[in-house]
Amino acid sequence: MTHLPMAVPAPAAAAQPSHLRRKLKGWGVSALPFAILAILWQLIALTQPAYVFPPLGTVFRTIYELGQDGVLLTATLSTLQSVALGAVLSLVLGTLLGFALARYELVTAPLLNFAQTVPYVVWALMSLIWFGLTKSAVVFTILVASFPIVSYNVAAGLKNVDANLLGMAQSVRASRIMILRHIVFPSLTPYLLSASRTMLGMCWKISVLAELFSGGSSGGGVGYSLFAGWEFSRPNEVFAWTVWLVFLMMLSDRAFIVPAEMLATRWKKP
Amino acid sequence: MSHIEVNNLTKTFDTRSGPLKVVDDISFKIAEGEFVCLLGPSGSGKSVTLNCIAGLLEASSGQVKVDGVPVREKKPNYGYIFQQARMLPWRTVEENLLFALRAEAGRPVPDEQRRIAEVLDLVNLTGYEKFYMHQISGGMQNRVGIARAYIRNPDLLLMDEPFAALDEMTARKLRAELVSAWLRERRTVVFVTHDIVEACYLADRIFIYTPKPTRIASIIEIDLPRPRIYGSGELHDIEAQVLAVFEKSLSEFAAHAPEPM
Repeated sequence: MTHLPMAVPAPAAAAQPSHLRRKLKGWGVSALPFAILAILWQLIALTQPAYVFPPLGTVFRTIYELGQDGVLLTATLSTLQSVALGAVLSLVLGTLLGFALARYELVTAPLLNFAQTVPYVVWALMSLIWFGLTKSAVVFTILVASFPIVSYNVAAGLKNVDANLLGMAQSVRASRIMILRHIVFPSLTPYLLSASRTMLGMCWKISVLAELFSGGSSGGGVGYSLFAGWEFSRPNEVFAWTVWLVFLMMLSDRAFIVPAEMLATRWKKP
Repeated sequence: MSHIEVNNLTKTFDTRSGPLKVVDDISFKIAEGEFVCLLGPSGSGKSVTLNCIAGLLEASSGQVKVDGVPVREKKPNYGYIFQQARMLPWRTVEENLLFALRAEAGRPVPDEQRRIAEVLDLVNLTGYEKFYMHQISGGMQNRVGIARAYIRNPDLLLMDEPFAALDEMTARKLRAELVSAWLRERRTVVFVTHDIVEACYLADRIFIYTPKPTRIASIIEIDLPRPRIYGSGELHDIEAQVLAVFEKSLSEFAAHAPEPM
């Protein structure tokens, strides 16, 4: 009886550091893969001359210098523009074609297969023939490479819409718009999210490929700068741009996909 | 409130092993404000009959009329209650009810808030407007399902084993609520069940279905005041009567069946 009031604050006091410790541990765990990667990088860099495999310090310093120079910002903005446009178009076109794929599989599936089977390099070259050395060529290549991911996911999602809910909708005579808005799209959300995540990564990768072919006149993006670094035998820059690109990919996932995910799964909270 | 007329209803489904007759030439009438249970073993075509009345399935031959109009021409104004609650998990209780209210028009309808409050009061769920489905129990979800059927102010309630998945105590509570709501408003009810006790507790009349292909073996009238009492002598007599019809039709079915499975 006497130590009961004493015992009350004890767990609260204990909870504070353990909560903090758990948080620190969480950060530690998520930093671990980067630490492993950094160690491996440095080990390889130790065994190789700097022009073959520069150490991380050099890479980061080069990124900093590119930043000072201003080219980091202009290249990033240019590529960001292409990627953003390509991703949005992929999402829209991919979703529409996903509906078509679920509905008219016999017609749509071969077309999607065709778009997917043509190598990305060929699409990049074709887009140069059709659009010239422009940003449009870059966006087109991104689009054509990325939208099938969305289509296949949307079609799979449509096949998994709960038939019980559709029956219920029929029993209240729901209009097509209401069914789309309240049943079909919410069912598609997890599929669209996972598709967007893969698709966005694809957009960044393809942007490099496309910019590499279309040269400086397409806006001088990250891909072009990377290629320029290679052309002028500046391996530090090639590595720097690559690391920067990976950083941008991860940042875009954090900035767009993660919040979208949180928004879409808000209702699942207990 | 609606009255129903079913004339020579036959429903055949095409299966891989040929056509399968599920409902075979049944006819009955249900009066305005009547509470009818369709009782039979599972797979006996009770739900198919219900869906034909709703106009969700088309009769292979014969006709279903609600208020004198063939359902083929005009779908009746019904509320449908399923065995599983069939709620939108990503919408709250209130939003699920709004979905039913706005289903046809796609935009707000008059008196939404008042109607939601009314039906939630009817199923004793006032205060749960903002809850999602995973935050309430299965029995409560069933109640929302019932509220959803009522909110469209139907002349006819079609219920397909709505309490079959619930524990007996919850089911009893919901049955009692259903009866008291029915006593107040006298909406016509067609209630599908395989539970004899449930049918005897609820119905004015019980249509007993034979095994496949379905005919109506017998119609039993129950003229007892409500609320009825489970396990009372009168109810027990009727249960025995229903059971006797069941046994008879099952033994006839066994005699006529080509081979036992």
